[in-house]
Amino acid sequence: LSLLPLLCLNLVGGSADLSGSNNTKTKNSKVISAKDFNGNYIHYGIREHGMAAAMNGLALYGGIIPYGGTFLIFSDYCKPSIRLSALMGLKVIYIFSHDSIGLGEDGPTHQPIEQLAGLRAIPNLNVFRPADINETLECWQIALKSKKTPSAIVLSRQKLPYVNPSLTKDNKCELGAYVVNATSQNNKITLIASGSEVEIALEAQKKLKESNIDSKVVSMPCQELFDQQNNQFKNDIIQKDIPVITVEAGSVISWEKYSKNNMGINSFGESGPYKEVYKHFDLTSDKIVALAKKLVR
Amino acid sequence: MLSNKNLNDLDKLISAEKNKYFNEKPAKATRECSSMTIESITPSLSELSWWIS
Repeated sequence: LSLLPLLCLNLVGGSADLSGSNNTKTKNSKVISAKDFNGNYIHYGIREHGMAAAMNGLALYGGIIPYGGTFLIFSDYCKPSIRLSALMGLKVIYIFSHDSIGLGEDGPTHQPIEQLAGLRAIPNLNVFRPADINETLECWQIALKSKKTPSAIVLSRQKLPYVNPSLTKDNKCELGAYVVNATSQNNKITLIASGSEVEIALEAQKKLKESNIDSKVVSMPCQELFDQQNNQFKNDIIQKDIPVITVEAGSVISWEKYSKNNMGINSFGESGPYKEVYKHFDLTSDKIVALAKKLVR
Repeated sequence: MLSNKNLNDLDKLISAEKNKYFNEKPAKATRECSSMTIESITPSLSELSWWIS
């Protein structure tokens, strides 16, 4: 973000007292203050609702693309204004970091569970959960090009591997989902994940292959865009003739439309090193493998 | 509203960045990726101030 605001004077960033954690403020951000309105970054304070409402106002004024950040857990405090962004069809970009139990030691008060499902339930809001730098580039591209749909870009605190399998000019996230890796043309099971859980699904795929079970791993960074695709594409991604397991570190509610076999978290989180917390909630490659073996038998 | 020219420029720049990272394959938190995304495309995108017409 450090250079963009200098050149794109219409991009106004900000955060609700979490600039350093959301990575929204950079060395080139110039803070707007009560005494100096010449700038491109707003310290909104601990006022998530006020931030979201102000971003709606900036977008309605025209000529400005506002983006603002907070932790995903605090999206609840933004919710009335996010809903209005969607209702009014405004190009507002919400940056929600610390998107799961993967934030670790801050514990259940800060670990989102039902937030993704709640955001996905808002009409005309694209909720993106990218898995790596390639997907993040593409999700930002879609958000910037969007005309009448606000975006929530949901981001991890923890480091994630690069998972993009191939170089294409096409924006893979534009279709909502794509195949990251398939071990055969004759797969026995499909594993669908988003964000940080794509890594775990790929680990499970390797283990399944060692047991001679071919599988397909799908990354689904945006359910809303996937749901808008034609049936042929959707059926290619989610084949009806083989079992499907979905994996996301949060409420499974928004995944139930794709499968009956959903691995997620339907209780509050726990404080601890994130890998241990994932293990506690059975979100591991071994647990995916165990379920997959049960389903393909 | 973005102009068609600027949309094409944005698409080209995103494509170039995807090429770069495909070779580097960086492991990063996606909150860092978000910051890197815009930071990396900006120096080449001199028309950014014209994005909005």
